[in-house]
Amino acid sequence: MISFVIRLQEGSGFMKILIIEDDAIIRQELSAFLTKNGYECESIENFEDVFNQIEIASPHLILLDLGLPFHDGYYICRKLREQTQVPIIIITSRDTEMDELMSMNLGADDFVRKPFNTQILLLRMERLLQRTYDKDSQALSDGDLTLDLSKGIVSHKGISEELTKNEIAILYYFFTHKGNIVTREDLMTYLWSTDTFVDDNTLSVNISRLRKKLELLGVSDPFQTKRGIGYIME
Amino acid sequence: MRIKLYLKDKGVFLFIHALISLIISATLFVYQVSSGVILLLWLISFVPLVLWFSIDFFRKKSYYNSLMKTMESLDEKYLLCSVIEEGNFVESVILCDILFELSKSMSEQVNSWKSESLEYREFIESWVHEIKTPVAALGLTLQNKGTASDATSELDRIERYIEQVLYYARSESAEKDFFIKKIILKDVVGDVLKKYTKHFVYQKISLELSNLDIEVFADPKWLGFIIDQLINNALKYRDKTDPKLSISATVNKNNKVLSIKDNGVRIAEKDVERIFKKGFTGENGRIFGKSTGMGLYICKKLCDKLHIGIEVSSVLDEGTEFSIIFPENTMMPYRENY
Repeated sequence: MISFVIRLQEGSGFMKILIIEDDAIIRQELSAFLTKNGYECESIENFEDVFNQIEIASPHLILLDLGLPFHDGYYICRKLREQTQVPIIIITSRDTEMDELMSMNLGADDFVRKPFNTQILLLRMERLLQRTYDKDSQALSDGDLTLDLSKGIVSHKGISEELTKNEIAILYYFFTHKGNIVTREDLMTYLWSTDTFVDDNTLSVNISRLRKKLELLGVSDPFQTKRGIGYIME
Repeated sequence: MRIKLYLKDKGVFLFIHALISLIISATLFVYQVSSGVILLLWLISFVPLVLWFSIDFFRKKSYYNSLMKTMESLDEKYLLCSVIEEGNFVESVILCDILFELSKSMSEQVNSWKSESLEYREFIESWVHEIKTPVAALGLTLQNKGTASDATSELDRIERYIEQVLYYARSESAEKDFFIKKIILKDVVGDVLKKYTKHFVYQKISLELSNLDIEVFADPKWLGFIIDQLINNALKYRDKTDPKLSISATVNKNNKVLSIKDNGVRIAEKDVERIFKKGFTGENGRIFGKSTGMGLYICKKLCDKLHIGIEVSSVLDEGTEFSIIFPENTMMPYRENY
């Protein structure tokens, strides 16, 4: 099973994220960042009746800091788990293995350390949201071309071809950035974020293999090379 | 305690006693007292004395000997005064009193240092945790503004120095701080590599990962820090035309080895041995600058705490290879759930 992240489609509605963090700047910037990336954000600013506010907000996912006024994150996490299964990602500057273990024991789903890499945070959120709300892995399609992520197969007019993990990731990225120029750097950064540590040469090989496979299926020129810039899938 | 030492101690007394006895015998002899009486007098004055000294010698000898033996059997010699017992002669009582006072004042001193250093460490740790929030806030702000990649990379450097401080403080302290569990090298290496995505993507560094699906026992955070330092070094001293980095693992009979190899600047032969020393910057550090000489020193310290080995070898025209050696520990309880 290939573990892949599917950027939640616009059609399935915005996912609501609740930020519970006492540092105002982080709250504000994180919220701006997530909004820019297609999430609906709310944050808690008054920590006295956190639980009420969580209930009112009823988010799809909670980003929870550990060091908070009134109740600390551990307590909130434990209390929440008594009532709800909403996904919780702990964001904290405490970073020992014990802290992580403790968070997981109290029912958190993931643990991200400060200062965090925003791409990694996004990826983990997406993965968690997909696991929770979007259990059937989808297939992406564009005209006659279909990419089945769960089977790792690309098909065109009834003919199908198996793809390697790297090829799927590349094609997936092209699919989700249709009509935009994708630079080699974008592609590599994306691949690295999914634990596929390819270098420039490997990427070239992967891309040309993918192109060949697609052409074998009868897709002529699936993505054009923009010399010196990158690729584009129309 | 040797008899010579004891006799030397009692020498003056014995000499004076003998002298007095001689004078008395001589006087008695002058007054024509019979030699039998003089002999008797000698016996009376010396037999009890010798008897007493013998008893005294043997009890002191047995006391001091047992003291020495106890001390030798102790791992921490300073604990002697808590197991010592007073003997039945006056010096032993005085000795015990002195030792007791001495160790009391010493342990007070040590305790005050201990609490001071603990306090210092706790402050460093809490400071590091505090500073991470503004650093994270700054990072987010920079990202949202979408500008200044220079500023972002400087921020990355700040982060790395902060980590160094944290792990330095931790490396000083007891073993309770780490948490050994079974980990797969690929996961730890992957987490570190992700931090350097930008370097690899934009500086076209070729990367080769092989055979990293290997399980070892270590604290993932500490090991991650060590690998981070090594990769950071490899990137800092990379080859300018065709930089390469290869990370691989091998399983041997007695150990597992993770090696991080680059084709960058070689470490001068005379520097190789001292590279893990505190504050050592070496030729490369001076040429390339920005070297504190702390990174590898902290790595070595952490490795020592984790009971794993770290080695370096550098060959001309081939670059530098760091190896982290995980000994195969048969004592380690195998726990499936970790």
